[in-house]
Amino acid sequence: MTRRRRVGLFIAMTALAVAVIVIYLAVTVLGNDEDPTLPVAGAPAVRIAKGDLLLLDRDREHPKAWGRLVVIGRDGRRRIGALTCERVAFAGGSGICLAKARSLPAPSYEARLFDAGEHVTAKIEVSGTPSRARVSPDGRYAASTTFVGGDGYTNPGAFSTRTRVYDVHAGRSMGDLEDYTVIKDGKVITAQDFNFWGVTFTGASAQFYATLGTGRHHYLVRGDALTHQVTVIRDGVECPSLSPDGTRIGFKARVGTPFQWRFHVLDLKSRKETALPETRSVDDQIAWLDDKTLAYGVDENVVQVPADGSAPPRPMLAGVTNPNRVR
Amino acid sequence: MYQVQDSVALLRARRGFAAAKQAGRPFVARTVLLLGLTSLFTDISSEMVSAILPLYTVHVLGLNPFQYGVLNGIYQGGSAFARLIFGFVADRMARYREVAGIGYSLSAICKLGLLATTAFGGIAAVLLLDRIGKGIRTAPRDAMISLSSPQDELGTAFGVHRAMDTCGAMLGPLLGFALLAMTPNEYHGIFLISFCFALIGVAVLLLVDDPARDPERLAAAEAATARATAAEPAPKREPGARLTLGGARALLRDTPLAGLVVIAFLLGLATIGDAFLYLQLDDRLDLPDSVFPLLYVGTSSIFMVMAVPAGRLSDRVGRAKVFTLGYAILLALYLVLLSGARADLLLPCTLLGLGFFYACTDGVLAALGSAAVPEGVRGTGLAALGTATGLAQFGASLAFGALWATVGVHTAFVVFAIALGVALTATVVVLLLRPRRPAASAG
Repeated sequence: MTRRRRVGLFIAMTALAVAVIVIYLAVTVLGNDEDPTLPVAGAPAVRIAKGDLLLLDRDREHPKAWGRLVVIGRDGRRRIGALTCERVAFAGGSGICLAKARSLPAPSYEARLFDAGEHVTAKIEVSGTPSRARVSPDGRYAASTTFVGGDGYTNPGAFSTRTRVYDVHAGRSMGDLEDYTVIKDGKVITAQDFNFWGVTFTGASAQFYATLGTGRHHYLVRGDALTHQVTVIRDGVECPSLSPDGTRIGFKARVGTPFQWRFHVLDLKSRKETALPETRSVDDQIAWLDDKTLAYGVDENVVQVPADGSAPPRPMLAGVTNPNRVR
Repeated sequence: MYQVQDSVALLRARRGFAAAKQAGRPFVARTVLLLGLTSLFTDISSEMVSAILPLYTVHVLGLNPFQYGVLNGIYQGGSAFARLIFGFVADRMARYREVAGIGYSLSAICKLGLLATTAFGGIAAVLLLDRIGKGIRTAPRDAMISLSSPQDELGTAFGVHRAMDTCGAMLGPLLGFALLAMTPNEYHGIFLISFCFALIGVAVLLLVDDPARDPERLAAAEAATARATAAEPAPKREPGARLTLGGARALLRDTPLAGLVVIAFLLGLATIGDAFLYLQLDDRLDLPDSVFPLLYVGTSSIFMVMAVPAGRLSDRVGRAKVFTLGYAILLALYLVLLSGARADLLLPCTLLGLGFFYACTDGVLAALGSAAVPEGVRGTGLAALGTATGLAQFGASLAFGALWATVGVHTAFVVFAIALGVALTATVVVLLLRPRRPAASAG
């Protein structure tokens, strides 16, 4: 290639690249106009009542509403809340919203505790990016799980989870589960690779179920945030979710190699496991709509499925995720 | 020292270069600046993607942490062998710009690949190709930097390149996060923008004149080399003959490169990864999470600012001295982190220490390697040096992680501090004390 042609090619390639960048920025910035039908940020908060269905917006048509709280009343009316979250949970008059605190120089997140009027009562910084959120039935305690170790600057190689319980009334953290004492078969066990995720509260004070990942095991543990102790119950249970009547646990299990996740329901009394007829591998902490029905998010939609596995999952709502029936 | 330090030869080389480039030539060669720009744009492109990739893979694609770990491993370790192979290929073809161009283009196309696939296997494959692209381009690029710079200014030239490179690596994540803040979840838009920056990087490379193809410079350099090494002629390639693997080995055997590779490997084995140092700092200071990314920005800023002064210093007082100083600073930093030093001193010490360490070692090692290797095998030699360092650091990360898990972080630090002390002693003996050649005095 002659020097002249190289210079010509340089100009053409640079011009093309700059043009694409300019056009992209123009389209996204100018074309991202606020939808007049949507309340703007800081708009009046909605009141959250028992029986409401809480979700998060995942509507690609309206990027500005992305992540906003969606509240569907028992009358079916759909309202958009003021809070914007990555994950949300609400029960017993208290909520936890895992939200982006800052975008630059790198995204950072915090847990926002809020009440039924969407008023934020406390903000607590969390490590990593939000994954799971839950509140105890009485609204006294909340829990968050985040993925740690993942942005361009921080690359310790390993990717881990961090799970923490909050005292909602005091508005403070009660510590990370990593610092809790772990008991298996009556003995205290420790390992460097302990990871906890997916808390579900039992309703008895600060007691909860969660997953402890170590080596190739994914233990269902039962713990207490007041005594800082967890006990291993059984293997192969991830992201447990306790039914409202407290008799069953919905969870995901790893099947096959390379593994896929499949939702199951474990009867705590008979220890019988029932596979739910979902054919996709779904990564979510399943939620109970009532004692007979479960719901979860897949690809920005929510589907529901009977807890006895008697019928295949069917679409419930589109353009939303993070289903949560307010108790 | 390996480079010609004999004052007469130095003067001649200077004169020859000045005559070729005429008076009033820029601070460093035009080629170095252009390659610096190419690296700057390419680093903006790749770092903006790697910054948002964890969010993308876990939150949008729904990959689990384990899968992300696999991805990360590919991302970190995929380029070592491509570097060695293509360093040799570039030497053999004597076409550094084209081979580097293939590497830069491959990585650019990979950004489009991210737009095309959302499957785990697809993404893993794209990232592997991206890293291979990096492996392909590194050695020919460094060879071009060294061949377009006079012997006595190699440190400065690499310093300028590394400063520009680091500048891109700092801007990239900021740009990625800013775009993400502006258009939440529009990851594909970010990949597109990233491709555009990579394209500009490749375009700038087109303006580079391949020093291996510059007859005027070649003739001048050959004459200079012939004069400089008249007392002890180095093995030279027959003009027109193609480099073979055996030939490359023969050409490298009698150079100081072997010692340098061993030293770089030993030092790499004793180097604790930045992330572990920051974790240790976090352990001591209990930093808020939002500060964590700023540690990298802080270290990179100091590296960026100090790369050129350190390079110039290395040209003046001797590269081996500055290189050794860099690792001495690192050892001092380990000891500070181990000691019960005052908490308020730890943060500035770590950032300054690491920044100075990189400034004194990264470009300076490439300059040391360039001066130690004959022109015809410059790519192969630099690739060997880079691969040795990379493999050793990868091994060190595994070892440090394992030690951390089994005997605890404090013991792991002690073990690595001792190892670095030993490696540093070896460095002093091999690079500073052992007289290589009667004609070349140390320093």
